[in-house]
Amino acid sequence: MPIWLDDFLWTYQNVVYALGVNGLLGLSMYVVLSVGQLSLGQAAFMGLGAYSSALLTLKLHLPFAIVLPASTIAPVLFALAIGTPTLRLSGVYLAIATIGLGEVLRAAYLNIDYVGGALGISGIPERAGVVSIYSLLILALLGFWLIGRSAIGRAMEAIREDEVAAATMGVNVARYRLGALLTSAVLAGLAGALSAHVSSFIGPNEYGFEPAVTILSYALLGGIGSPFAPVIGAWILTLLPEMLRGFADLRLVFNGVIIVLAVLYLPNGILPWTMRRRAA
Amino acid sequence: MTLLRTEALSMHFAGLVAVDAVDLAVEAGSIHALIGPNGAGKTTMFNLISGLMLPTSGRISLDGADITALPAHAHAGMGMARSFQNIRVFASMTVLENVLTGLHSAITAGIAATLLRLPMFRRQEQDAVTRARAALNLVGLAARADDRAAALAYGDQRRLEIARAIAGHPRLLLLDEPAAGMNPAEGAALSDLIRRIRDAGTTVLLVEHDMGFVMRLADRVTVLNFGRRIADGPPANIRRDPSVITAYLGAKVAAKLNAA
Amino acid sequence: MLAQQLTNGVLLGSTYALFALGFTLMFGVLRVVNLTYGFYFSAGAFVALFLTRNVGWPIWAALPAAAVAVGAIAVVLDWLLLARLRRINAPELSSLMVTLGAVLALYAGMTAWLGPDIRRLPAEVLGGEAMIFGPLRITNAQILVLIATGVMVTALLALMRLTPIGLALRAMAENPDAAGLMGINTGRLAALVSFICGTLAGAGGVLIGLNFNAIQPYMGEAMMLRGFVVIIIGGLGDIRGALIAGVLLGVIEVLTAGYVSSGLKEAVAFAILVVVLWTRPSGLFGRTQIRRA
Repeated sequence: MPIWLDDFLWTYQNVVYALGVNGLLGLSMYVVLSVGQLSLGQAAFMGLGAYSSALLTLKLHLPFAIVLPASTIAPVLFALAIGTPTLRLSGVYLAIATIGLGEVLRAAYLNIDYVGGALGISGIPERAGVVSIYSLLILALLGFWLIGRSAIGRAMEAIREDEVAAATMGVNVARYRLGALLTSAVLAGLAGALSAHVSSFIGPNEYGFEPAVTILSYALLGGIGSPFAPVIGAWILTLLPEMLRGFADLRLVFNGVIIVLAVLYLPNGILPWTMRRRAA
Repeated sequence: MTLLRTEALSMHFAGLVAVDAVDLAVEAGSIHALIGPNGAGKTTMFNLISGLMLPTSGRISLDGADITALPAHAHAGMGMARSFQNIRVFASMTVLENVLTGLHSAITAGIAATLLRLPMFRRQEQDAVTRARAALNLVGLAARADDRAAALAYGDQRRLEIARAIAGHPRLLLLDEPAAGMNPAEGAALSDLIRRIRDAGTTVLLVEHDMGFVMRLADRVTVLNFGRRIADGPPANIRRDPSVITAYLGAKVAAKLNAA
Repeated sequence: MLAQQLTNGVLLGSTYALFALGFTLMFGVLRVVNLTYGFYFSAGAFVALFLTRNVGWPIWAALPAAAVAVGAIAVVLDWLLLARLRRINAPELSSLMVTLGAVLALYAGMTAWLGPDIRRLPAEVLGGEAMIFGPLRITNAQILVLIATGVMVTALLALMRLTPIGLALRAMAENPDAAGLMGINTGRLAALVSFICGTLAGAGGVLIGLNFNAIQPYMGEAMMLRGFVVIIIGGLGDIRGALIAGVLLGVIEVLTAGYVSSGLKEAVAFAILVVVLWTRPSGLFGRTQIRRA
């Protein structure tokens, strides 16, 4: 590694990690929005991944190669419990149930001593890094790119546009929606495990309402025309507060306002270009 | 041979009987029209047949197989396709992508085959593009393949919907008011298109308001009024059927016509 | 002991019912899940805190004033955020997202302005000794909660059952297709419903502030979870369902806190929500039609 890159990484290590993790979170929002649903469970899924992976590392001393994939189990189970009944109903139900999930898990972490209560979990060894975070981000981007340019991608777009017409074309709408939610839970769980294993500490308040809405703002700012858009959105919203440190208090106000403006005036985000939906 | 059959099919909405014990038999290889005044239950019939609604009672079968409770998405795999009265193309997709979506159930490559770009995936995608282009050719939209569906004029969007529905060569095609909003020349071209679709082996069931259009095109006509079947037969008989005239024109006018 | 717990539960639950009533009415009539609703709750508590602490008003005057002020805020927010979406007939999730972004900005702005600390109402507001009725011990604050909730629910039900506009609102809440047939000016209607709902949420905030004597910008966020539980158990848009489910939730929470663990009351409430979604998605008392996709 050249010295300047080494220096750069050392100085901005946390920002570099955050860009990768938040990119994954942006994608986990993207996949749900792509099938016309709104889930606010991303932060909760991330928290489940972070807590379960930290416990596996600290209490069971498992190697990270096992911890990382295992961190997706808890988010997937919660996504199944909430997604299965709600995805058959109108989109409002999934949104409501997933907002609730974040609140409940926060209260649970606070009150369960085994997971550290209000103190959270500290002393998590640094097992993840630039390589693990960015290779997962690149794999996820590549996966969504390949899926987007196929019958599966067309079906997802069709569901988002008109679920009745999509069903008439033979698309099993409920199955696609559940698949998207589970994929989203996997990505958020991985992001949680990665961030826990680069930051050494996790706490109950890191996965509540505010991060949930912030993750939504990534995808709404970038748009969902292609998988790159939400990642760029995440990067902008991660870098901006770094540059505007004086306004730390107003960072969340800013994220909220971005959502309002994006929905009202920029429904396709700042990167509205859509990818081709076929391979040949 | 009867391709589609409904037996005593009924649909009740909170106190309202939209479809009332309707028997319908659509012969394979025919163009069958379902007509009736506004609110007669035609679109509800279509929604029941295509699985968008679950009937209150009665039975629907396709080629002898019971499809009454089949979910909407499973109908495509059974060889059924439909268009909608209010156009429902996927506006953000290109014309070609719209038609490719109509071939969804013909593409069996799963996630793994898609991610790995296996030969099977490539073959199926290419095959689908070929079939989609053929469908676009048939409806005369081949030149617009790469345009956004939203950019098409109203009549072209209707033809796109038909192309999307026929791309997979369905056994049964349901068309909900295909001629709505078309001028006579466009209507004639549409009749021609529907005949060609029938000749290519697809049975057509259509709902239509334009009586002249139906009488010139259909092999058989079923008339609904207030959710009940009031007549069924070849167009020539339907035209003379007193109950149909009454339903359409009202009892007074019908009596006057009879007297005249 | 149990009788005391049940009394506390019913009193707490009646506040939940009051809060959820506005939320469900808003969904029923305007077909919008308006998440700024949680902010109205916090705003009500803070206005009452300001009026009692800084201006020195008694609570019986501060409560209605706060409720009306929040009603006005609700009208303005509805106009800023949702009027445009209604005009372009945007999908229902758009309005959910826009109010979600707005509520985050509002909470965060409030925290930046007023600080994140828990504040308390002046001691004299809460009033002296608790009253003893046989085995029951009831505080003055609880009596105020009971009276205020009773008055507001009765007033709302009277409005809904006796006035022409109320009947129209009820018809629309129960049957969304009727909205178009009524020929009511939707702009004015949205303002009216927002005002009523803002008043209910604002009053709810004051009453919960009294009940627990803890006021904090994000208090509406925690309350929204209860709002969700109540309107899903009661059935989205179902007014009677919201009343019953609200009281039920209060009782369940108090009993869970009393006999199991106070840390688990949110989890219990949410578990009920998930069970209801699995078994009776249209609500326990549901008539609401569930769309078949």
